[in-house]
Amino acid sequence: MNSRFVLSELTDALVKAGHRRREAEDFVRAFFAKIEEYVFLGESVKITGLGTFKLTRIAARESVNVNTGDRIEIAEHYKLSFLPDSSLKEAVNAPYAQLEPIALDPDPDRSEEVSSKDVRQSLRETQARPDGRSAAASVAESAPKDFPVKNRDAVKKKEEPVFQVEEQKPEEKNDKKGTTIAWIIFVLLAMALIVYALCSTVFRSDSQPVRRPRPVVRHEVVTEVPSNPRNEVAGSAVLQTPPVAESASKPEATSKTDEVASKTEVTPTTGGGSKPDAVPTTGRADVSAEGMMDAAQWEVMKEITLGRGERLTLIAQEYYGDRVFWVYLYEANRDRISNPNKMAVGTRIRIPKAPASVVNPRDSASLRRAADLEDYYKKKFAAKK
Amino acid sequence: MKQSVFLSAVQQEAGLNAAQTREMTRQLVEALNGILADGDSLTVHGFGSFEVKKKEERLSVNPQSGKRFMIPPKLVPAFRPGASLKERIKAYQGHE
Repeated sequence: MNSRFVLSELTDALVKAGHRRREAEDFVRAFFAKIEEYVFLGESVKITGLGTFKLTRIAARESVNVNTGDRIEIAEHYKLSFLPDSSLKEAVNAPYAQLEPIALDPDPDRSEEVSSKDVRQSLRETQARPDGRSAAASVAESAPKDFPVKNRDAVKKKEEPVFQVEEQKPEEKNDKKGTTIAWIIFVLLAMALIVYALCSTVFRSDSQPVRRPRPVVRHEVVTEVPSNPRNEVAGSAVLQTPPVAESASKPEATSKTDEVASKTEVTPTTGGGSKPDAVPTTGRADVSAEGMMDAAQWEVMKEITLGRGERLTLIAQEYYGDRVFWVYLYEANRDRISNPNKMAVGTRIRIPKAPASVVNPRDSASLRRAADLEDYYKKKFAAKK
Repeated sequence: MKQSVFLSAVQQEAGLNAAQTREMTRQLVEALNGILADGDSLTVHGFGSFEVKKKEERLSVNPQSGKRFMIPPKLVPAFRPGASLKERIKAYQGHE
């Protein structure tokens, strides 16, 4: 086994068979020399019991240098192929001859196939949705009906995943495993209520100036709004922040709670109570109506002419300290701007003197309100296109 | 090409008669088969070496039925051209 022999082994064998050594040597040398000769003449040399020698052409192909990543071309070349005779193959493979392919249990393979099919199926379903949103998103969309006051626009996009989880709550309660989730949500809600109670006392001074501009509206609302939906919204507002980082983000969460709560109070002025289905739209309308009223009535501080390449966001940055306040610029100039994405050069723009309570780049509540308005207008004008 | 053509060429080259050539060819092939069947290798200087290679067992799937098979290991005879033959193959640009 695994000995390495040289040509003399063959001549020795021939000598043993009764041939003269010189003849045997000549023959063996001639034998291999002729194989080589004929192979290079383009012939395939077949020797019974041994195999076939043949030069095969390997077509040129492209490859990649593994070190540099450069593309290289491997030129057309030839290769000497040796195809052993079946008798030789059998003789060589004798030690393993009794082995046969074993058919393995097809079960794991089948189940694998099924599961991949399932994945593909669900993928197709996801793709089939007209708006291209994921299944989870659409599930979340169908959920809010059960919630009396749910203002989608009040939430920024990056917070949405958590928001969805919250929205799925009523559905999951029906599920078998929904009980655990319901329990978690209950705990979170309880925490949210505590936080809300705390912040309503601690942050009162903060939120006061924001509400001041429309005291009348607020009073009306407070009397109308039932306490239940407000609690719900307060809970949802806190849930929007990732629970893991809850302790770190408490101040943010609390201010948000204030914000959402104030929004809740505004809702019924136009919406008239809690209409589950119409809530998102009424919410938007409220936000815009509220802002519009303000910005249009604000005292005009300055009037400028739009130059080439100017944007409301840049003007807002310059005058109000944050790009997001462009919405008030737009609202103050609704009569002159039909679409803030396409403004004509030379348009005269009013820059209103904004009250610090509404436009304040350092106040997170006013920033968020402007962001909500921005979301609303973005959607509105994206839909127009 | 036909083996008879090849053998007559060998016969001429070695200066032997036809019967001798046939017998020697048979014996040479037999000896070579014996060497390979034992799992040994034979190197022919200036030509190349005959050796035995082991193909390891592997899993294979029938794409039509989805059935999986364990293909057992096997030994296959192989030929590897030597250095001088390789050089010649490299320089070879095709016959004609």
